This record gives sequence, structure tokens and C-alpha cells, in this order.
Amino acid sequence: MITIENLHKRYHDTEVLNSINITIDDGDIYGLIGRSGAGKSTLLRCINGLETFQGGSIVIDGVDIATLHDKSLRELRKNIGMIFQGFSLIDRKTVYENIAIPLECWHIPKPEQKERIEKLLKIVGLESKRDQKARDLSGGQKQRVAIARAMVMNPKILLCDEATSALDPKTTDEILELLLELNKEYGITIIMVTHQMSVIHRMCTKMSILENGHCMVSGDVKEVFLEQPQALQNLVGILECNLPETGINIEVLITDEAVGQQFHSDLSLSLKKPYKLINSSLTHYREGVLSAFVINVSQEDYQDFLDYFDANHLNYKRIERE
Amino acid sequence: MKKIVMLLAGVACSMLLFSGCSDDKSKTSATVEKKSITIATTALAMPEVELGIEDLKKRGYEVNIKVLQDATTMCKAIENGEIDVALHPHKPWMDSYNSGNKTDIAMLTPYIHKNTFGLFSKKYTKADEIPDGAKIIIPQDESNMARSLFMMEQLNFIKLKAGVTSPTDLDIESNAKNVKIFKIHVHQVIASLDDADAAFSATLFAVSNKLDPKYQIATSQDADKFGVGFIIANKNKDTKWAKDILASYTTEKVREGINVIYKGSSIPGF
Amino acid sequence: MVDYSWNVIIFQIIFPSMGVTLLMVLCATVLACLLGFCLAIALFWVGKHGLSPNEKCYATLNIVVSFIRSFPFIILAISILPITRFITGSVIGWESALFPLTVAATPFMGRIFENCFKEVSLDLIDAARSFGATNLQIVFKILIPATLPSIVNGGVLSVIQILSLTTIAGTLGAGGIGASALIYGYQSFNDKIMYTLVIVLFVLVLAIQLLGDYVYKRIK
Ligand SMILES: Nc1ncnc2c1ncn2[C@@H]1O[C@H](COP(=O)(O)OP(=O)(O)OP(=O)(O)O)[C@@H](O)[C@H]1O
Ligand SMILES: [Mg+2]
Repeated sequence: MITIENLHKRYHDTEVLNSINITIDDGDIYGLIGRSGAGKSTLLRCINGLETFQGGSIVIDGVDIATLHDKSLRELRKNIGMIFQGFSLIDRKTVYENIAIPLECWHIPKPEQKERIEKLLKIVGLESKRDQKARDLSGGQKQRVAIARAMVMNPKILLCDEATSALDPKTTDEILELLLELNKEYGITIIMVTHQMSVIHRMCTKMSILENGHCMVSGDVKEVFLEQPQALQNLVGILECNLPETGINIEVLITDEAVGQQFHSDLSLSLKKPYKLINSSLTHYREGVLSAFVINVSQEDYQDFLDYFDANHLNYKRIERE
Repeated sequence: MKKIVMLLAGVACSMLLFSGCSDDKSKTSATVEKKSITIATTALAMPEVELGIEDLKKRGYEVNIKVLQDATTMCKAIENGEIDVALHPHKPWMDSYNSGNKTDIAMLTPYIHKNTFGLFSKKYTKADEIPDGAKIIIPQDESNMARSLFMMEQLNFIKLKAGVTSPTDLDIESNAKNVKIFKIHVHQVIASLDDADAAFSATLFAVSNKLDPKYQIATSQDADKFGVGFIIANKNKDTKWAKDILASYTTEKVREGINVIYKGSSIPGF
Repeated sequence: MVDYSWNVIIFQIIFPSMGVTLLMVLCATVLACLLGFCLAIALFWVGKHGLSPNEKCYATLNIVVSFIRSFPFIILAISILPITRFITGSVIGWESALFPLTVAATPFMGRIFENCFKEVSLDLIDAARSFGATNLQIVFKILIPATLPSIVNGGVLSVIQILSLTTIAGTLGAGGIGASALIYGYQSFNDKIMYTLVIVLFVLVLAIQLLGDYVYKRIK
């Protein structure tokens, strides 16, 4: 378990992280999302001690990392893998040699190295590329090698900093699938820093939204998307559709896939009142589908619609034109 | 591509200008009414050159002094007409330069000064004491090397091949004392004296290195051959202004000055 | 001017000075490589994005390196004569020339190697830290393996630089091809010897470059 309490981090005079409070449970896939410069990478690097911080604490499995130095800090890092957007491999070394570097640093005997690396190569699907130079690999393959290298010390936690940002959608999918598999298979805790909402949907159980060094929202991914807090709206700009000038606009969010599918027919059949569909979206995330509809109704009918939504326990919100 | 063409054009233009320039100079230098004289020398010989300037000005010339690095540069500048005369190389050097480069640069006589040359040692007080197999430093430029080798022959350290006028260490026929020879830049010979048994050098460098005169254990007898005079393009050697230069630099004032400046390492040559 | 026969040129000038030049270049390269390497690692270690940044240390090293590099070699060699004598016991001969050669070439190599290390992406170093590598391990298991081809290239540059410095060292009594070209060629107005020796130097430079390129290709 990772507990981040009241974390403060400054570079000279600029506050980069400001009272961050986050708790991450074992086995979670935790998403950190935010605009560029929000402090996501910095937060991630604080977790494995690549950055120091000025206030607050980060406790990992009962150990306050601020108390660690040299040897003990390196021991901690051994249990925390990390992957980056840029793969960061030694291009002129082979896949096998790249994955072996951490093992060499920790003086693992050669036979055991071989065993671990070959097992991981199987998991990341690169058995056939074992002796190929890293520079001859595709982006996706490079990231697989990076993942294997991060996993080779059998860490309990994997930190991913924009791990898929440099990849095309299909390759992104494959890498995310691989990470999910690692999470399921080994119960490894994954912290994903990303600016791609789809990554959060797809992977994460919990998430935090960072804005200018502040943690604006933390919670279950599903709940955050249901609540549509301002921070999320700032991020995704969900209302970027043109709202009509007349009438009243209501946004309805439905987490039950079946309910979402029937929403329109149910609504028109029961209420028999006219409404305009302004926007609708379906988002697949890890535990289901979120349907979001924006409808426009007349002033007179507004109350009837609200009554209907209340009776059917639907999550709704009146939204105003800017 | 365009740039290159422009660059080439620029170079060509400046070369034209340059050659035009030097043509002009040589023309004027041939005329009698030459009014301005450019003298080149080294930083070391500057005080000596200054001795005669006043007199030369009295004769109605405008005098420019140029400090140059070495004698080769001075010769090139004379060939280009950028300077009129230079005071620095000695006669044998000038001769070998002329024969090596097929040039025609004259040295005005009488000489202004003569360099004395000697054998230096901090370990021995006489040349005969220098043992077999001694480490001996000689200057590495042709004329000083030749002078060292001739002196070594004189001292019976070595024997040179017969008939060589400007020998290098490759012309040693026999090495009776079996001395080990190190060739070092003239300026560094005295500074390296501590690391060898003895060194050959112009006395000039011993003085400029503030070496105690007692360490000069032998003096070469050939100072007359190594006179230093003004060098000048051959075609100018009989001009009036060349004669005026000589006149200004062979005065009693210059004689006394040379004795003071060089403290005996060079002696007046007139 | 004496016109030496080819026999004399080859056996009395080229061969002996070639031996001295090769020895000097080899020894100076080994020394300067080792020291330059340590210097580069020190520079990188305390540099801005280094392993343990320390502005003051870096500024100091930086100034020392730039100071030595600003010396024309001949002046450097002359200024450190007393130290040379103290260390090598003499200031003449090629063994003594090794000291000024090493002093001059070390900062040069240090800079070249430092620039090689700077090519390494910061993420790669972070990645190494993230799996618990020590700073020394980062140097030997990441920096050096990742930049080996550039290091070889820089090394070739340095060897050729040292070769040209040996010419100047030659004027201080070290001997070698460059010095012979000056003494028997330039200073004796003997173009035949001068250009012959320049060609020998050219062949030497070419050989070093080709060897370097070959190694570069092999390890890339
Ligand atoms: N070494 C540093 N010195 C000074 N400021 C820094 C340093 N590293 C980061 N910052 C600043 O800290 C803030 C947060 O940076 P960080 O890299 O954590 O952002 P991020 O959310 O990861 O952004 P991105 O999505 O672009 O990677 C930025 O304003 C950045 O300029
Ligand atoms: Mg970032």
C-alpha cells in the first residue's frame, strides 16, 4: 500500500506539488491524469525517490521513503519498476542484454538471470527477438522490452510515465493489455501517468486528477466519471458540443449498459414529450460502459423529465450555456 | 554553390589587390625619393633596432618597425615587398635559405653584430672533462645545429663528413666520445641544461635565460662567420636608402648600445 | 642544404622517428584516455544533469579544463617544465614529452568523452536509478556501453590530436616524425624531406582513422 500524505514539492520557488493526498492499495491500477506540467511525472518520481520533496510523507508498505538513503533506497527501488514514454533502452545492446542490466546490477547469478529473462520474454511475447539489437525493434516492441526490464527484479509496484504516449492506437492497446495481464497474473500494483483519458478508462480502478500541482479529484474511476467534477470537465471538455439557446439542457449519465441502450426508447415511450438529443457518448472503461447523453427540453416539460429521472434513479445534471 | 562562387570571387579580388599593392611598393622602392622605411625584427632584437631610428629619421625617413616571429617570415615579407629590411638572421642561415628556396636576398655589410656561441654545462668546467657517452643538447634549427656540430668537431667529440657546408646530425661520420645528441628548439636549449651534461647554444640565449656566465665552458672561434646584418631584396642593396640605413646603424652610439644590451653575447660587427 | 639520399631518409630519418612517434602516441593515448575518462566521468558526475549535481565542483573543473585547453601546447609544455622535470626526472627525450602531452590531451579527451555521456537520454539514467543501480553501476553498465561507439570516435579524434601535438613536443627534444619534418625539412629548407615526412604522417593519420572507423562499425 502506498500512502501519500500532504505532499509538497518545490523547485526553487515554484510549488510543483501542493498538499497531495493519495492512497493506493495493493493490486490497484491507479491513474494519474492531468494537463502537461500539472506535476504528474514529478509525483511519480517522488514515489520511487528519484525526486526529493519538501513536505509531507510517502509511505510504502509501512516504510517512510524520506527516511531511506543509498542502500535502503536502492532496495526500495528494486521493488518498484518504472517505464517511460521514450523506452530508454541501450540501443546497441540486444533485447536479452537490456533486460539483464538490473540483474547484473544486483549480482544475480547467470543461470538465474537466464531463467528470469526467458520467462519474461515469453510473457511480453518477444521470445523470437531475444538476440536482436534494441534499435532494430518497433516502438511497441521496445516498450515490451522496457516492461520486461522493469519487471525483471520482480517488483511489487510498476510506475508508468506516459508509457503508451509514443505508440499508435493498436500498439497502445497491446501494451495496455500486457500491463493488465501482469496486474492480474502477479497482483502487481500499477500507477499510470497519462494524458490519454482512454488509458484511464481501459485500465484503471482508481484515479486522481492533477491540476497545477493540486490533486483536484481522487476516487473510483466509475464514480469520478459519474460525478463529472469540474476538474474532469476541464480535462475532457465534455460540453464542447453547441448547446441550443432555447430550452433547458440536461446531461444524463448511465453506468448500466442495458439501461443506457434502452434509455431513449424508454424515455419517449413513458413520457411522450418531445426532446432534442444534443450529444451522446459511450465510454468503455474497465468495469463497464458509461453512457452520457445531453438532451434539450422545453421549460414547461422540464419538471416532468426530472421526475422521470428521479423515479428511475438516473444520474442527471442541468447544464448551462457558457 | 552561389556562396562558394562568391567566396572564390572574393579571394581572387583580394589577391589582385594584394599583388597590385606589392607591385606598387617595389616600384617606389626602386625610385630615389623613398621616404618611408619598414624594418622588421624580433622582440628580442627590438632594443638594438631602436638604437638607430633617431639617426635615420634625421636623414629624413619615416621609420616603421614590425615585430615578426622568425627569419623565414621576414624573408617572405621581403620577397613580398611588405618590409624593406630585417635584422635577425645571420649570414650562414641567409645563405642556406637562399640556396634552399632559390631566392635572392642579400645581407648588407658591414654586419651590425656577431653572435657568440659556446658550450654550456653545469656539471663540468672544461670541455675535456665531458665524459664518453655524455648527453649533449644542440639547437635543432639548421644554422645553429651546424654551428654546434662544427664546434663539436673542433672539440674532437665527433668527426663530420668531409665537405659538408651545413651539416645536420646525419652527417656525423664518427662519434669518438659516443655522445648522445638531443635536438631541441633554440629557445629551450638553456632551459633543458639541467637534464643533460652539456649544451651548445648562442650566448644570447644564455643571457636571456639569465644563466650565470660561469657555466659557459667553451666559446666558439667562428663568430666572424656568424655576422648578423640587415637583409634586403638584392635589387635594393645599392640604393641610397640602404646606404643610409647602414650609416645610421654603424655609429658609435649603436656600438655602445650593443655592448650594453647583449652583455657580450653579441658583439658589434663593424 | 644537404641533399640526403632516399636511403638516408628512410633508414636514418623515417624509421627511427616513426618508432619514437608511435611509442609517444601510444603511451600518451593510453595515459590521456585513462585520465580523460576519469575527468569526463567527474565532469558528468557533478554536471547539471549528472549523477550527483554539484554546481561549484562543476564550475571549478570546468574552469580548470578550459584553462589548460586555452594554452597553446608549446607554451603549456614550457610552463610546466619544472613539473615535468620533477615527475620524469628530465625535460628531454620522448619519455619526458609524455607528461606535457598527457596534460594537454587529457582535458581534450575529457571534454570529448563528457559530450559522449551527455548524449545519453536522461530517461535512460532515470531508468537505471529506478531499478536500483548505484552511480558507479550507471557509469559502467549504462553510460559506457550506451556510448561506446561515440567514445571510439572521440578516441580517434584524440589520437590524431596527440599525433599532431607530438610534432610540437618534438621541438622540445622528443624527436619523432613531426620534429624530423621540421628539423630536416622545414628548418633546413629541404622540401623533399619535409613533404615525404608529411606523407608519412598522412598515412599514419589515415591508418588511425580507418582503424577507428572499422572498430566503430564493429561495435555499433
Ligand atoms: N528539474 C526541474 N526544475 C524546475 N522545474 C521543474 C523541473 N522538473 C519539472 N519542473 C516543473 O514542474 C512542473 C511539473 O512538471 P512535470 O514534469 O511533473 O509535469 P507533467 O505533469 O509530467 O507534464 P507532462 O505531461 O508534460 O509530462 C512543471 O511546471 C515543470 O516545469
Ligand atoms: Mg511528464
